[in-house]
Amino acid sequence: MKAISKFFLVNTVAGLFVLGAVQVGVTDEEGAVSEHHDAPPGVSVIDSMVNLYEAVTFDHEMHMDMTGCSTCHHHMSDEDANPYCYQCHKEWYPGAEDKRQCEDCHVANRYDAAYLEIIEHGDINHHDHRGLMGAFHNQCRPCHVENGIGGCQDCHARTEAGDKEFHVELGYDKKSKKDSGQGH
Amino acid sequence: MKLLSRRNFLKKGVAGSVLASFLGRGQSASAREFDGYSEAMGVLVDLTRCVGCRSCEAACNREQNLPDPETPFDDYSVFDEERHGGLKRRTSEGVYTVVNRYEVDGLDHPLYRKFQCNHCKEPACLTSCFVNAYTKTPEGAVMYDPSVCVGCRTCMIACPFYVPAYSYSSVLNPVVQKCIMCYPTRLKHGRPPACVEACPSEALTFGHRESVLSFARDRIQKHPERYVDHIYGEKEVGGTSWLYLSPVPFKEIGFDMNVGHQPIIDYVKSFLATVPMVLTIWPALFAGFHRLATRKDWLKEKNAEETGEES
Repeated sequence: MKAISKFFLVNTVAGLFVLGAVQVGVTDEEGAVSEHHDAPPGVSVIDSMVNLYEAVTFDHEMHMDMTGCSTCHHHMSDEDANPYCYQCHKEWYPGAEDKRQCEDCHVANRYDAAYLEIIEHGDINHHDHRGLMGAFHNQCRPCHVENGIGGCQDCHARTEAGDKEFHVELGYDKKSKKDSGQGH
Repeated sequence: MKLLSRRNFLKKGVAGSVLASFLGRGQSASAREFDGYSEAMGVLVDLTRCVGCRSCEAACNREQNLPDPETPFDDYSVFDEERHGGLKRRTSEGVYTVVNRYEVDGLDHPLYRKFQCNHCKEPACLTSCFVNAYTKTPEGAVMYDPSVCVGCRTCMIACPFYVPAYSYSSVLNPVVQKCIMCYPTRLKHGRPPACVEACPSEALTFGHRESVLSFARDRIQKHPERYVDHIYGEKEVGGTSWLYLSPVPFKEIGFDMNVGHQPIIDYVKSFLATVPMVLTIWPALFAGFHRLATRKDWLKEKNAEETGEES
């Protein structure tokens, strides 16, 4: 019991933190986040990896037109409820998409000491819970691969720091060396 | 009188050596069992999630201040590389981790496998090192101290996963190089290794070894259609800190299935226990036999000498 209440406390604090971060990171062009799920938020900006990659603009409406809500927003209806979550979080269903955001379940600060503690020693159903970046990639990528845009840079343009991390300059060196080698 | 006492001495010696050999056996049979540090950390590698982006390789290179790679980390042609004997890429000096691609029959997509030091619970490199250059920290990392290393490279032969590499390029101070689980910069402070944090797909899960082991069991239980019912590293070579989950049998993606479930040291423990006995008792024993066998000749010689002296 103590572990559960501790989890909620930490999760609430973490949630506030995440929301704060999200408000900085995700700006809604239409202003306030829409109240109703029929009108999705407009363009969101995801910038959690700005040190290595440029921020990604995510067009909510375009994706909704293409594939609908539930492809990405899983476990939101009674039928699609995750049985492990549903045991305790019945209040999220039905119509949970009104109330739930991705980061309510999949935290952005996946590797913070406090969260590492939760996933290891919290309630058993919160064990091994996927963070936001992992959830995004696992949820988005399969579709993108099918549509031939599954490469990292198809969504994420690398920054200069990113180029440095991946040692991109070596590729250019090698190529130019190769080219000059062929010239001889 | 003199001869009799020698005989007694030999008799006692033989009896003593027999006794000692039994005592020696008793000791080796009750050799200490080490089941790993309970607080050891671990990483679970879920091969169903890895997309082969090589971000972990790039992060490792940065975190460990390793030399520049041969090609950029976004060069995916390295997956086509084949070494001598059709082997995939492996760790080397300056490369502590590699990701390799495997095409598996019956799967419509390739599988990617991250490879690095598995940080065994009872490491063969550590037990094979005669200058104690290796340490297994309570946090689970297998560390190497270059200052005491004599460069014998026994650890490289002992490692069942062929992980430790030698910096042959260094003329004056070559050392063994391998993944240290980011111990000094991260693990010591309770933070996951750099590769884990860099993984965008969360293919790597960090936590106490016992916890990530339970995560692995849980994933298999919840998604039996997704995984084979085997956690590589749970039992292999006595257990490793890095554990693997796979959608296909591990032998199809280059895992060595012949490493056994015992720590490598177990294979030589009984032999090593007999070494001191052989070295101390056998010389005395066989010298005694030789003395007995040649006693008559010796007596003859002595008698001859004595009679010679008299005459």
